[in-house]
Amino acid sequence: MLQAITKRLKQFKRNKRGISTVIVVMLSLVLITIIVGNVVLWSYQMNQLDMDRMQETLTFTNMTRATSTLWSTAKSEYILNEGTLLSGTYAATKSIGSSCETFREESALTNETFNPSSYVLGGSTTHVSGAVSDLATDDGVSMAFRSYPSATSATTLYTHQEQTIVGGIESYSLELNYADAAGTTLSADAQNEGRIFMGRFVYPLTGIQSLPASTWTVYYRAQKTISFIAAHCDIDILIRTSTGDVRSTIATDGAGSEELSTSWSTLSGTYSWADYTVVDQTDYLEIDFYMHVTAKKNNEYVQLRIDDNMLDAADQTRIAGIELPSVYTLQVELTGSSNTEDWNSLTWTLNSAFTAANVDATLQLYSYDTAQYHTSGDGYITYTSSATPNADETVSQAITANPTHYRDAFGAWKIRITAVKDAASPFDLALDWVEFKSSVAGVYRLDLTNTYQIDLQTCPLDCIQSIEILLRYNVSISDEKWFLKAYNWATSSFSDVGFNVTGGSQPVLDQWNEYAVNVTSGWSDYVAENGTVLIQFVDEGSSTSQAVVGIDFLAVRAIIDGVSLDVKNSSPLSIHVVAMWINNSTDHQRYSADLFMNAGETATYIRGDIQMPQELFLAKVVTERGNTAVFSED
Amino acid sequence: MKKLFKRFLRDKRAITPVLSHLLLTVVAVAIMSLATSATFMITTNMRETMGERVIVEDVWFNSAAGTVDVYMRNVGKADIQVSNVYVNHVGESFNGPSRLEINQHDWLRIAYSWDSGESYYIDIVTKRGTHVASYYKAP
Repeated sequence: MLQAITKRLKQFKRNKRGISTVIVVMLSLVLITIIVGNVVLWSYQMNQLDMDRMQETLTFTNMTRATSTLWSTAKSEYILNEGTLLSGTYAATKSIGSSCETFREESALTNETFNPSSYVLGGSTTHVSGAVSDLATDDGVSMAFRSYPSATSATTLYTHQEQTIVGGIESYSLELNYADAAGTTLSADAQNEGRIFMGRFVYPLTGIQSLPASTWTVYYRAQKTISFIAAHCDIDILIRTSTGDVRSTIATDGAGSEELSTSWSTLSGTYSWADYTVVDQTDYLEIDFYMHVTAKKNNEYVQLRIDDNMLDAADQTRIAGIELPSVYTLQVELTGSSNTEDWNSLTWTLNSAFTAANVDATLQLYSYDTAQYHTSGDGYITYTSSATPNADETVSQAITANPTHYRDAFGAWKIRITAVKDAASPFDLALDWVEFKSSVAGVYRLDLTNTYQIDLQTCPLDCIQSIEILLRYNVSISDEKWFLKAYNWATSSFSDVGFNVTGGSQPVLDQWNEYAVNVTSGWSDYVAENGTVLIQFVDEGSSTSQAVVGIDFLAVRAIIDGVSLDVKNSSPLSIHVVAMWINNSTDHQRYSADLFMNAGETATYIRGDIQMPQELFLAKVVTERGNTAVFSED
Repeated sequence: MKKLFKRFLRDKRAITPVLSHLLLTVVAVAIMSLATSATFMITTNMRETMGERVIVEDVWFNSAAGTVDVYMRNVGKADIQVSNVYVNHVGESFNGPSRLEINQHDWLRIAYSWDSGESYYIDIVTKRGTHVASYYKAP
């Protein structure tokens, strides 16, 4: 069997006759098939075109004068600026009498802000700069206050070798901190008996209002170079002005110590300081150190050691027991006025900065109900300022419980600021912004907008005479008016300027209310270049009751002097009308059109750019496929 | 390797059949190309002729100009070119677009002295031979 098949295949392979003929015939058949197929297919397509054209049945039933375009209704959902959507969709507002879309008013808080109009300084707080008007805005322009010393404590002033020039006089420094240098030895030849000046030390009285009475103990790190010398240490105390003049000499030859020894030792003496009121805070407290020699010796020395950080604190040359400020306090009371409305909430805000770090600040709102500043809860804010000096900080508190307790019967209010810091120098408060904001509730609002499109292809802008807006609505509460406005593209705001009715619509309960508005003058400002009209429907904003509003119809149309064509598509095909003709005895005018009609549909086609002929005319509409429907007025 | 190459160059057997087959192939390809081109040209022309559709949207017996103005629109699938216009089977001169592309439309102004109330058989013929003809009565 296999041998038979193999034999047949070999015969077939050897037999070459007729193969070329077969190939030629096949190729010819392919070509013929392509030609015929192409022609037949094309013929089919053209026949289809002709069939469609034959099937088209368009009837032009009427043509009348049109005074307005068709209503342009919402194409998308309403944008709610205030209020909420309860039910329905925008589609319900496209036709009269069907279902409606309902909205509900929502309460909107009305804020009113107030700022301080005056201030009262507390304690010895001083006003540094700025005016109360600077507190109106958070703009970096502030009002500055300076703290005062509110407590003192026994303080030690250490002698330092750093120089301070006071009115041209070089002096050493007295500082609160411990010695920070390798030390300096003040040395004097004990060649004469009497007091030998060793050194002048000053301490600035900035921020110090008084130096209370106290017993000072003056420690001297001193020695003499030979035992023959008899000497002790003492001081003069005076107040020196910043110009270098002596304002007051407090003590001379005070705080005398024990006898000096021939090795370094720490001696001491006391001085009873009487209360001193600082005359000018630019003054300096000056301590002049002396060696009082009672047995002299040439070329031998008495010495005082200062600012030696190798010594223990107890061995430093210093003055202990000076009552210096240890706590600084700032207090200012701000007062302002507001209104007497029934507030829903109150928010008070302060923006400030302290020149020192970590200041304990307390802000209090005066409660007229309890006739005192609150010390906790509402009306009370306490915080520690930033660890970075001069850091801008805003603190705020919203009060919803009894906000009216924080004003008097006339609307006056008070805020007290208290700032305290344990420090030896004063700090400043830069107060930039203080706001007292009240919120009034109870006014329910509904504000919605939507866009509407005027077909400029059938109704160009130069054919429009005015714009008409029609609203059909109902309300559940009729205690306020409702307004229609349109977006003025020239001023970029909603307006009703140029409307024939601007007083709003007063609705009647339990019925549909129609509110029609004509934009007679300046209508072009309300129509964008692409024909868009933006409509706003808004309440009066005076009702404290929550109303539910149903919109049955809201649309816009243009008032024109044009024509309206009634056409009917009786065919089972969609029709595209591409042209219309208005012919009379003197003119045949063609107008391009763009009207699609579904199968069996009747349409009214309005053109604002075609005026109704006054004489006999023949009108035609032409479809894309080439059929024509005619209407003639006999 | 060199030996093999030299042997191949010396071997003259079967060269003639190879050349003949190559020539035959070239000739066959050339003939098929010609046939295909001819087919394309023939079918394109046929398609354009079959795809011509022209309508007359309006006929205006223009008394002011003393002409018959025909508004034509190409609704077919091929560009058209008006070659002749006949009024009552008599060729007339015309002004207008010599060529209308697909969906293009324009006036065709026929210089013809018409009489009011008379009917005229207007026949517009394209270059490919398509006729658009009908009777129109002058107002």
